[in-house]
Amino acid sequence: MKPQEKIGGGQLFALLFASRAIGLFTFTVPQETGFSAGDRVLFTVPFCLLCLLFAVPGLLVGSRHENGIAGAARAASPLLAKGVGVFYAAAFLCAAALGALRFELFVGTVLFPESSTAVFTALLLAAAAAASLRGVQALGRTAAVLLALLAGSVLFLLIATFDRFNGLNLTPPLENGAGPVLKNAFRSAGRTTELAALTLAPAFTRGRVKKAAVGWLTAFSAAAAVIFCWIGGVTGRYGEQQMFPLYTLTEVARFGVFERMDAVLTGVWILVAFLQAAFFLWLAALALKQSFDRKMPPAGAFAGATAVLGLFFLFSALADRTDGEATVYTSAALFLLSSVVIPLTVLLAGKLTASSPKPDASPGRG
Amino acid sequence: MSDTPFTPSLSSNLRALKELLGDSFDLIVRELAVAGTKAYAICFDGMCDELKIAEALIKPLTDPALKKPPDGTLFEAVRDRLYKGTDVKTVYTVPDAAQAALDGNLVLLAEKEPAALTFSVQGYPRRSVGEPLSEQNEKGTQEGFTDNFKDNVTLLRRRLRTPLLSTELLTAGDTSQTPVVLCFIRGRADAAMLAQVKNRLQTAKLDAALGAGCLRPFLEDRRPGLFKGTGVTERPDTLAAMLTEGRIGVIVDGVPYAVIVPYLFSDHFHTADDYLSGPAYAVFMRALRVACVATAAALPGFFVAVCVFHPEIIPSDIMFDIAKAESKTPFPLMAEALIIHLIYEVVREAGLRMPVAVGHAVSIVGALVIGDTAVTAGLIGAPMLIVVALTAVCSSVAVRLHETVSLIRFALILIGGLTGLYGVMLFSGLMLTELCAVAPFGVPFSAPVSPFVKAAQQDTLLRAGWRKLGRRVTTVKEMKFE
Repeated sequence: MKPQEKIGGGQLFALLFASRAIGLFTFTVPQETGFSAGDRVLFTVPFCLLCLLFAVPGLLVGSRHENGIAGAARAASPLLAKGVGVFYAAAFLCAAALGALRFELFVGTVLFPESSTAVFTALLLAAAAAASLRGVQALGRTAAVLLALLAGSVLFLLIATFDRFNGLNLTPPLENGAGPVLKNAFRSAGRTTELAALTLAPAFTRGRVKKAAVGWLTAFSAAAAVIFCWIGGVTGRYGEQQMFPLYTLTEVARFGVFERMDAVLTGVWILVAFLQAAFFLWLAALALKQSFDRKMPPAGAFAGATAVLGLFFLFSALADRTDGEATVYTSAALFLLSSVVIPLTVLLAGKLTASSPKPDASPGRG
Repeated sequence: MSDTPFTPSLSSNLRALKELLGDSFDLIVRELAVAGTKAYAICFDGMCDELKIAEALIKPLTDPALKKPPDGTLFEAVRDRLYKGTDVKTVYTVPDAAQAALDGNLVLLAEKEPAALTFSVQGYPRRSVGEPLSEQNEKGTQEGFTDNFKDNVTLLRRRLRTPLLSTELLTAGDTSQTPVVLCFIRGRADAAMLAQVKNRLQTAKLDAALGAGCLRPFLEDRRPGLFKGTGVTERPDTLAAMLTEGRIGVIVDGVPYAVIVPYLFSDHFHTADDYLSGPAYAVFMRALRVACVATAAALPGFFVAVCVFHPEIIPSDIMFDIAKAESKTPFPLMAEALIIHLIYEVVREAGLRMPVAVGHAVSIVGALVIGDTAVTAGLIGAPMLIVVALTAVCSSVAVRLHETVSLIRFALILIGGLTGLYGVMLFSGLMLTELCAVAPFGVPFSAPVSPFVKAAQQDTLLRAGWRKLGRRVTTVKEMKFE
């Protein structure tokens, strides 16, 4: 079998950052939680700390085994390795479906309110499946370009709304106590499925995974703080009542004779959603490939995309029945299992296997 | 027959050679008496320089004063003393001698000599060095490659007078046996890449290599895609510059183009004039070219998507004008865009294939009838015509990307008309991934932008001044990541 292609630490940073950036655009909180504009800026600090904390098990597994969690699980037990592989594949497919669901909510609410969003989701997944077939190097390079594009578009957005920024619009943080801040920090950290990718990262990264991960979480949180601060400064209380605060900011952006920049700026985020779906599909294929030592056929990517579409419909129905709570809990459960519980279990199993005497050990010379 | 060696018998050698070369009317076999020894000079009519043969070979060989050398040493005497030219080789098999004759050499067979001598006396008609028609420039050399590979190697060597410039002769095409020259600079070209290129050329299953285009697919990835990791140039100075960056050139006999491997995406935006203008102007022009390619690929699709699905983006005054113009046309915007672009491609193709004298007529018909009259008749809207015209002009800026850009343009018109900006952006993302996936010989096509190679940035979109640029050359070896 061909050796696993690898990307550099910088490309891993770009992939994780760009993949997570969709969370910024589709960031939404229930209005009744009392999460003010000031809280949004402040919440990025506990969010960053929580993510760093949750990243530790994944990074630990990576530092112990060059093949990441698959290698560590195989060292403990081949059966465990298969189970772990299947779980991670399923987790990434679910993460892709949940990501698509959040994006569908955005597309269906503001972009194409009259159209069938299922068609758009199917298109997104088909494109993502085709892209995932190009491999992680192609995705890493694409992510780097997208990151530059994203930075450019955010900068453009800041410039286009510069004259509307007013520091007085920024509501003071902790108006309603620390509860909403912490709650939303946990909630957002629970959606950061990219942390689970860190458990597999050593298998496809040539550079330093730890540095990339810490850099990503810190830079992402800092970028989120700046964006939320800007949203607050431009939209004030009005922005707090909007479903998608960042989109609201794009709506009020003006540039010369162009009075509606939202569609153009949304375009960049469509690219990001596409990249996230492609990355998750590729990760799912990698998890299976590592566990079963078998390369996925090209049709596998499209089968994965079909499975994601099925999960998307399932989560969509669940979200409708439970007012969105089911997807929050599913997301959090997946996150905890894939980023914390399984890595720790694999580490523990590895320790137990290493300490127990081997049955086929030679009797020794003495 | 593949390795049939020559024997001391002249008649059997001649028979074997004639058998292999066939009964062609242009095959000349002339009997000579060289110092009393019977010999045959064999060549193809029109492939050799008759004057050169007469002066450098026939005249000294048939000199009556020539003394007969001892048996079996005639060729030694001819090679070392009698022949007045430079390039003479001894071949020991019939197929090698036949190939030499086919290459335009004169083959000499003699009694009691189990070998043949080949004299490089080529003199076939060839096009003289002219301007590079598809890569015009303002300030650089006006010399372009010709159809003859030896002339092309000379043009290259005149620009790179270093002993490190290596040229290796290979042949391609089972039937055509086309000479192919591999050019590279020792120490700069990556050894593994070089071995791979050579291997791919030597194992290329091809009947006739009648142009650079026949060989390019063998140097590219097997996976079909819109972006190619090889490029062509008609300019010897461009090839020379590329070789100094560690790339490999493939000169194919019969075409005025050299293939360059690996050829990166950023190379499409560089021209010879960039290096002869001031850095600021060069950077401006490069940025303009990037913008033109993006416009040529995406403008029509973006225009259709915005007008159909997101008219709110366009300033209201302009939108009203567009709506007014489009309301008079019978076709939906997407169909209109597709039809006009198809017509544009037809006019372009006709302009390329038609004799020059008729080409102007086609341009006039295209511009007046299809443009002005169609708008006046209300068949197409003026805004769409402006979009097409702008696209056409922009697509001429990076000519080598025309095929890719045209296909992407058509796809984007379709997608934009059906799914709006959502589909346009998704397809753009897919194309970006496609571009980033190409890695000719381990060098990412998107390098040095992604992956970012800092050292190469002084000559990517930016162009540093010669004081800085001349200090260090970044080779493609430094961009090889896999």
